[in-house]
Amino acid sequence: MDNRFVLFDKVLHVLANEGVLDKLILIGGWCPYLYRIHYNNTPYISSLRTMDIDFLIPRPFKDMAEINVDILLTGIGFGREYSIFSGNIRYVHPELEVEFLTPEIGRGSSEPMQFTSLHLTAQKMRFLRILQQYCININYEGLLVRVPEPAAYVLHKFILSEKRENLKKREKDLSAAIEIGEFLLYSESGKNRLSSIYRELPVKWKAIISRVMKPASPKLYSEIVLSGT
Amino acid sequence: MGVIQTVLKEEFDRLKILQQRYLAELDHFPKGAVSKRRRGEKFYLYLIQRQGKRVKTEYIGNWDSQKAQSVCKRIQERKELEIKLRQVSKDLAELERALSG
Repeated sequence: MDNRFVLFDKVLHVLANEGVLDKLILIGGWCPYLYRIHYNNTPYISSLRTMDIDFLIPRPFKDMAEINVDILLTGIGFGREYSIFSGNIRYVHPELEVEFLTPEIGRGSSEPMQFTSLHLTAQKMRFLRILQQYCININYEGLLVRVPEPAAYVLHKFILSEKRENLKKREKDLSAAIEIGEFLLYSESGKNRLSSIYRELPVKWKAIISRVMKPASPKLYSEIVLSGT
Repeated sequence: MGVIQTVLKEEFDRLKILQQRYLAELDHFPKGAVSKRRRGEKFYLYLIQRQGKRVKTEYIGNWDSQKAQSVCKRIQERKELEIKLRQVSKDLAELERALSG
């Protein structure tokens, strides 16, 4: 078995055992892997995964008993990597990296957000609200993992791709968005979710999606943007 | 097998299945190309298909008719599927090289 899977499972289990996993949302490059499982191993969703596991800490964060996630992760072999410039902490391992993110609200600041009850700092990012707002639980190896709804994941990827400066990452975001988005169009429920989440987004976010989606996937654009106006 | 090889092999297997699915899906779409022709003041749609050595032109109907629009849509969908199939085949060839090298 791929070492990354072993470690990925380990991270999820250690967080679940301490009752933290259900407070977090798994976002980023490992979501498509869980979506594949959710849709009975469909070949339409790529099996490639990323090096980093990203967890979203929702805001407002519900108070919970104090659990030192820092110790949990270092306890299974992760090293702590501190960025002097941003103040962020990442947990690194030769096979994987774990990072915590949280939605940026209001005017924002460059400082990371402290979650004292978890002993964690999380990097603040715009547009994460969409991932926090629309979630589902996926059963993975006996654990319930909270992930963004595939439709919300797709729309967020379209927004994110426009904000990326790195061209390679931009292309990767777009291809993931198109791949999962067009897969969702196969089913009426998937199409409806894409349309209804799109309709509920702020006007500015919708404008970004429309701008990016039109040339990238005319099919998604006509089904989601045009049919929703 | 190393970590990267395992991931590549998994992706290779997925793309093989996807290629078969696309090929099977293509059978459900009409083959050929559409042609919009003007007769007098009106436009009509024709479906042009190759049948062996012959090229067959089939009259579909008035350009504005539901049938004509549906055929156009299906031909467009076929083209999109063919693009995806080409991409999958290209990725498979690349992965095959990576796995054998």
